[in-house]
Amino acid sequence: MVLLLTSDNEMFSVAEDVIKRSAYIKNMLEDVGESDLPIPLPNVESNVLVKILEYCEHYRGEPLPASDVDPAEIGDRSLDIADWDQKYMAVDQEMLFEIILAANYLDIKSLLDVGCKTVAKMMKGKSSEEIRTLFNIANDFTPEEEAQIRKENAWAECR
Amino acid sequence: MKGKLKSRFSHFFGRRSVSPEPPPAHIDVGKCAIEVLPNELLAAIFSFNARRTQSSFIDILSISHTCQRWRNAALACPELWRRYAFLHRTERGPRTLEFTRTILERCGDLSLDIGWERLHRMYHLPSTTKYHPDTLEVEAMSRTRSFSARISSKTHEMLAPLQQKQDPPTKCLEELSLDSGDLFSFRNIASALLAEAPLKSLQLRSCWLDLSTIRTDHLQVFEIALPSFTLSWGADEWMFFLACCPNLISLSMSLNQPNSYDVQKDTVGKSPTRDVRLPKLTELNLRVSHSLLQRIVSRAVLPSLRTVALEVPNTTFLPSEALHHCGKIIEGIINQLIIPVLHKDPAAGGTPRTQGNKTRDTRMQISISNSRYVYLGFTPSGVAVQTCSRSSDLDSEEDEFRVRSSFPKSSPPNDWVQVAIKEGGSKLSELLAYWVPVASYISNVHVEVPAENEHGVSLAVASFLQHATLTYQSTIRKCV
Repeated sequence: MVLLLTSDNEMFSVAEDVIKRSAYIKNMLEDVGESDLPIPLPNVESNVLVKILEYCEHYRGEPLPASDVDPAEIGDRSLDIADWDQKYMAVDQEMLFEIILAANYLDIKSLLDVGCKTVAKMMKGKSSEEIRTLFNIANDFTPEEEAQIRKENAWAECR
Repeated sequence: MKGKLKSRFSHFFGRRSVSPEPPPAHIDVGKCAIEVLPNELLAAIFSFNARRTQSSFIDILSISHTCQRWRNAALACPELWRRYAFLHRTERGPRTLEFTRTILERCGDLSLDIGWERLHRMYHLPSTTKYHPDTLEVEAMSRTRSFSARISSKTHEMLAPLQQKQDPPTKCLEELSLDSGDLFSFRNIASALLAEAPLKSLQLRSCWLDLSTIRTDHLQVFEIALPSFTLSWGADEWMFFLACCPNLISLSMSLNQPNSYDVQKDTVGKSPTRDVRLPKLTELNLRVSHSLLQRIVSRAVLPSLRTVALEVPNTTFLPSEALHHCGKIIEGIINQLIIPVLHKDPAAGGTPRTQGNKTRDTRMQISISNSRYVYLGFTPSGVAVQTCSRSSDLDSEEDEFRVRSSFPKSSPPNDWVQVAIKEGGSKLSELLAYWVPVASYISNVHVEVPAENEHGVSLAVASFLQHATLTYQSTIRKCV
């Protein structure tokens, strides 16, 4: 078992083969070896870790994804998300982005991809105004930038 | 204003509804939750929306027009901008030049993946529209890694940048996909552009170029589909071409109507003495003349083969001599291509492999079906096929662009060897006899019996299944 200590000081005891989906933890275990000391996760709160562990538990035993591929070398990336992953990601926006942050910190590539895809799908086909509304983003462009943006919109029109 | 603009785009590009799916997350009013993400993660998210389509370009523009921070993140990410088609605009002038220049700058040093989407819309342009590439566009071509285009007869001049002599010749073009739709055309681009391009994927639909002048040593995917009236090469030329493609992983050729029964009795003697060895080929998809088919079956050495999809003439209309010949080809496929693989790799015909808590099936499948033609397949498990790159990956949700594989879409998943017989083709049942050598691998039988031939087909299937294992499952359905 591996001990994990979250930022809000909660201790989790997790099976090694579950948490090894995190390349960060996996490498740490390989470097440090067996230890009774908990691994501190100062960037992850307990409610997020619970969610992350739910993902790792679901994919327990699945082969780990191959090593990183240079995105510049591959074609268009699919936006397809497996059914279970879609349900897993049906959370409020705050949790969604916390999952993405934690997946990035813990280096869980497949979870990071699912999180990014989920957000990318939310943006797909939306105008900038609709995206602002969706994510509560303020339009902070200067008048000069607005002028440039209008010009760029004209690019999309001219063909 | 934006809403109006968007609706104009929707009309112009035939775009679907603005939001194809309800967002999976709730909107938390009053708080901008996404601001916790650093720019690198924002860029990672944006990159999933960067595809080789016009609509995706508008998505990326919208993202870069959301707020200052997002704009900075998007402009600092060359990956977002390298997939856009520079070359498709008809309006010439400073605005276009500025556009091209800006996008090229945003791409940084990255090579370009250019999807030339929806050029067929140009069909409606006045025929007087002239297109001349500017130097920036030629520069863009010289940096292109992947290029796919659908072109119509009235837009062929827009391929001009492809036909410009590149000096120095482009060395980064790895994927080329040209589709002329139903209008066959000859593109004289090979010598101008492709002489030194290390092509990995070449897909041609209704489009022919002189393949003898291109580099083929890196080629992994080759797909060609030509209308029946075009005469490209004879069997010998094709065999020579294939012999020069040692790295092929996937080969798909649809060259003419298999109905044309063109067996020349003297072709056997003319076969090249040299074997064509394609050690990596896992996927073979052929709809070619009998002579080429025969040549491939007798001369090709394909030790890694996992998927064979083969279209042979509609046996209903064949004379008995041709039927016999068809059977001989099936026999050749089984003995030369399938049995060696089954013997070499027990996993191909054995039990599913288990990995973790999931079963990864590497077994083979054979399915015969006959709708208009007889399909004869041997599939799948070809994991390697999916690892090679393909260029015609334009957004399939929006446009059916791909050169179609002739293997029936509805073929069942790999489940040992399967035999499926569909409607039509009374003489198909006679061909079943040729499949006896692999009958023992059968685990599933799907039969769709044509009402008019029910008795004959049923008898043939029953006779065939005597050679099968005892554990196969069968489903029998009558066609109406």
